[in-house]
Amino acid sequence: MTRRVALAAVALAAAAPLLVYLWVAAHRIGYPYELDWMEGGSVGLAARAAGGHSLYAAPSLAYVGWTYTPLYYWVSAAVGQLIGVGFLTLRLVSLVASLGAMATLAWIVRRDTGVRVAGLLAAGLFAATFRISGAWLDTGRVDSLFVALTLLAVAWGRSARGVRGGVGLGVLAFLAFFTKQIALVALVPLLGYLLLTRRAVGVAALLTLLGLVAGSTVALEAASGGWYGYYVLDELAGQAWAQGVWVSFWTDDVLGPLWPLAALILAGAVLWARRAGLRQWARSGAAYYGLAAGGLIAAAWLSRLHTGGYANVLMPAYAAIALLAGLAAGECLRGGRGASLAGGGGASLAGGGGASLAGGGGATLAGARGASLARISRPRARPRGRLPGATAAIGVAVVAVAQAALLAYPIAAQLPTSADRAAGAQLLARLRALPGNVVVLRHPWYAAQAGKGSFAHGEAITDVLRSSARRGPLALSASLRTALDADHVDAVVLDGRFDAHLLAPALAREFRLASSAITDVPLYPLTDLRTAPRLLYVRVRAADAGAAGLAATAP
Amino acid sequence: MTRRLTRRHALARALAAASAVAAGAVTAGGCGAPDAPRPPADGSTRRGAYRDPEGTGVLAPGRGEPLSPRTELGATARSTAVLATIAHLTDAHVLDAASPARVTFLDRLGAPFQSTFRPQETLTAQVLAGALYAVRALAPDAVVQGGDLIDNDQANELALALAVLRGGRARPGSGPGGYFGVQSPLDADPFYYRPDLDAPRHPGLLAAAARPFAGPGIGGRWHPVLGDHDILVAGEIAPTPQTRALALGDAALWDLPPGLRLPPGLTSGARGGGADAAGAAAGSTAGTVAGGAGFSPDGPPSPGLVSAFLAQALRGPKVSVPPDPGRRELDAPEVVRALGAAAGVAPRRGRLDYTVAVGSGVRLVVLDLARRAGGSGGLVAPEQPAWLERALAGAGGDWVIVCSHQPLAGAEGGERVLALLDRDPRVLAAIAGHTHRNRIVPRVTARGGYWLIETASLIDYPQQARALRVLATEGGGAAIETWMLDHVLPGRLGTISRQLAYLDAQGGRPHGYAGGPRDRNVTLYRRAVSR
Repeated sequence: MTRRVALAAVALAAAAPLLVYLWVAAHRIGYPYELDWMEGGSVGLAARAAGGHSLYAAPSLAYVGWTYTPLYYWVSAAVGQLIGVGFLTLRLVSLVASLGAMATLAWIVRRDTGVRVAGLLAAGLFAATFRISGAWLDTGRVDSLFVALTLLAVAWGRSARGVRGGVGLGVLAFLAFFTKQIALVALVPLLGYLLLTRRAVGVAALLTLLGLVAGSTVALEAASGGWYGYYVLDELAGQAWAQGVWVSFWTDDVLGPLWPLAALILAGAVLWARRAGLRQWARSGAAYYGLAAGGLIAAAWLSRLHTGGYANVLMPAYAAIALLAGLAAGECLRGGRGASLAGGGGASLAGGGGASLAGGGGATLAGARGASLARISRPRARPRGRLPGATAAIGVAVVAVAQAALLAYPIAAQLPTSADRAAGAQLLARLRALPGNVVVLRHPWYAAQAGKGSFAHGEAITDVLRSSARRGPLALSASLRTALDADHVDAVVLDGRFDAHLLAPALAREFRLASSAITDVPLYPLTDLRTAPRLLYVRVRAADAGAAGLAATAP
Repeated sequence: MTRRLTRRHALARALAAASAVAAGAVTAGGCGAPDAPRPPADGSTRRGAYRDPEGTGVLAPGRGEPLSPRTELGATARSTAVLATIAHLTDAHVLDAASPARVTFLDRLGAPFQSTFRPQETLTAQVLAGALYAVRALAPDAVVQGGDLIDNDQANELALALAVLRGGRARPGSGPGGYFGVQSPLDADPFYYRPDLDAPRHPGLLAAAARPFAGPGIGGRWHPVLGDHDILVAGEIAPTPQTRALALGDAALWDLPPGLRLPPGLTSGARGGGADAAGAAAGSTAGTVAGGAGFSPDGPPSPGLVSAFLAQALRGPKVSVPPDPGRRELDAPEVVRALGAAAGVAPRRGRLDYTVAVGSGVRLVVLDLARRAGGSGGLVAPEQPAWLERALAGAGGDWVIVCSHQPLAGAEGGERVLALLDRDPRVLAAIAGHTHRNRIVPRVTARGGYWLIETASLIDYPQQARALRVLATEGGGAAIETWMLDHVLPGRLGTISRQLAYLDAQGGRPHGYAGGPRDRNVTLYRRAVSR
């Protein structure tokens, strides 16, 4: 009875964040303004892809490519063929991807431990990190798809056998890379492990991945006149490292919010080591998932170390920790069952076991105790290294509930308010009322929505200018010097006065700052930078005409 | 703009991508990024100088500026001996960016208030430290700290600056959190640069700027010059009960009060540096320093007008800020005593007037022109000319370099001092700060003339100190090799500060504070003494 209550508590602690996430996502997916300050730029890229244009072109005020590989935008463009390209389209892709990532986590844990509630816990814990990873899972950005594809590769690689299995893994790894380059870092340890333990799989996966990366690079380089490599390789490589994140990643990002899970993972590892013995480490599921998790965490760490890395880059680390925590919970809850991460018995999940282990062991055992949430059999005799069933369940429940409580977030703060919607409507109306094209430097999709031209995102401009790969800055600065005139821009909207340097000297020479802000109430995004379009600069001749009823004054 | 893709290029790209896969190092750098030149570790602009070759607003290390000869006061001659090496660093303006006594909101009015807020203002102590690294690499015989060491006459600013100079633990920031001010990301005011939000973004910069660090120390003898900001609030107003209460209080004014009106005579934009700045930007000037010299971006010249205006402004709505007793405003004698004690200099009648022998055959004569009653411009006190005359006479056969914060040419009573210097054939140069601008002008006199040298500030772009090497030349003349030193703080904070200073629309770049090539790295010749 105690065990059953404890398992119910685990299930509840896992299900609650999942349901909350779904509720939040359902209430945000149709919001017609930015959830994150760069989401509009992301929509602009998908719209460009939908229009058949290259995502990698010479940087100019009209367009600057982003430092990502293209898959997310292509997928969004494809969905956009059905429902049109907009915030909804990209969020839909991200929402499905995030749910896919959670399902993959649950599937991996369920398959490898046979403990269904542990799988649910892994998925729920990942959903629970929604807020600390920037409330990002459902935004129109690349990260959810990247994490989902990477986890799929991890899941596939665990059971992959032979050349065909390796090719499949290579394709999945490439798709993850083709969504976000850092996937390569995430998957390198796993590929290395397979090269050592399942050579055919490892070699086939690596060759497939290398071939696809090289082939896609050649093709996109040729199609873009050499700009693909500039954006996805050179520009990133030229960016600086952030200071002080080497340690704070571990203290503030990982252990600070997730210490109960860290304790659970430690407990699971100790139990596993006592039962299986360290001799089996090399070919065990624990080694595989440990290395896979290490890769995911390393990817997050590296991304965080790059200047500008927001909390969204922590998503792969949190997925890894949720995975390990699920596996550890499964290890604790398994009781006296034979199948284990360590292998050793006939139902081993370890390397030598074979693909049949994927879910097979769990399915056999599941159902024997139909009423049990964990769907595992109660051990008759407690083998070495096992905790008594009730004790283990209570322990896991305490950790799960504590972790879920620690990660709980104010739901209302993730949702747009009526004031946000009013500010958005006012912004679009005022943009429409302005003459000519309008550069909304940090929110260019708003200008596009208002029919005021298509322009590059200010952050993409900054990324190019600060990069040490000089080809981009040369091309971009030449454009910036003349583009305000050449593109018939009659107004510029900035979030902050200091951004003006990106458009100087034309902005200083030919535009004047309007005396009132573009909106009465700032239209802040709901996550990441709290930055809103504020300062309206109107071309002097338009200012003289009293454009949009806004009196112009000296800046 | 497209580039034709060759097969070789495509293959190289593919190989680069594949290598990145193999190494798993996509973000680890080196994937096609060209090797960028590194700035010289000693900050010498003779070996490397920061440039913006593409006009993108991004500074990058570039080739150095060799010394070029200037012969207005004497023909080129071979040097026979190095008499002294001197570093001149000035206008560090080490400041407490979170102080409620600051009036940052005035910045949006433009000149003459442009110095009330700078995007890089949280990093002043780090820039001073970076300048000291460069100075230490120079290993000079003496360092002239040219005034405006601090910005707002506060005790915590002076303690911080002296910690950097002495080499102790420097603790920037104030209040319990280190920084709570207009650059905080939660402040919705788009008129201030907010490093977490605005381009170029530097997330976490405010926290990093408030983190304690080890000051490098000056590593030798240093000689302080008193500046207006060292003893006056905002370099302008003698502390009053009102300003003292504001500094120690918990209410700050961040936004421009509605309906604020500038008093006549303090019109916005009235003193933007206009022609003066344009002249400086165009390059070196010839002849003598004329009207307009001595203008400083530090503040307007009329303390009475500013006081009245501030009183009006401070009636606006305020923001609650954490108080800090370290923000106590200092009286002038206290500052003079502290600087004198730190540098081992004895003040004379409450003023930092003194002389000191440097190297071999060079004497520094330091003049304190700071007004005690308020006002940023220089003021020659009635007793100073007589003292200077005695000091010059006591220099004997040494070459004399006169140091002041405000340039003599623009100071009230400065012409009397210049007339004294004009008569002395051993005066080689008069160096100053205050204008935040690199400038070198010859002053031609019947006795051989001397060089009027101004050095840029450490707070505004180009954030440079100046090296001066005094040489004896064949035939009994002298020369000064002078070149600029960039600050070289390890880590990124110094670089960020320089970059932000460069982008500041009201800062040193648009006003041409870097000067022309003939204001920076030159050899200044002076013919033999004519008696």
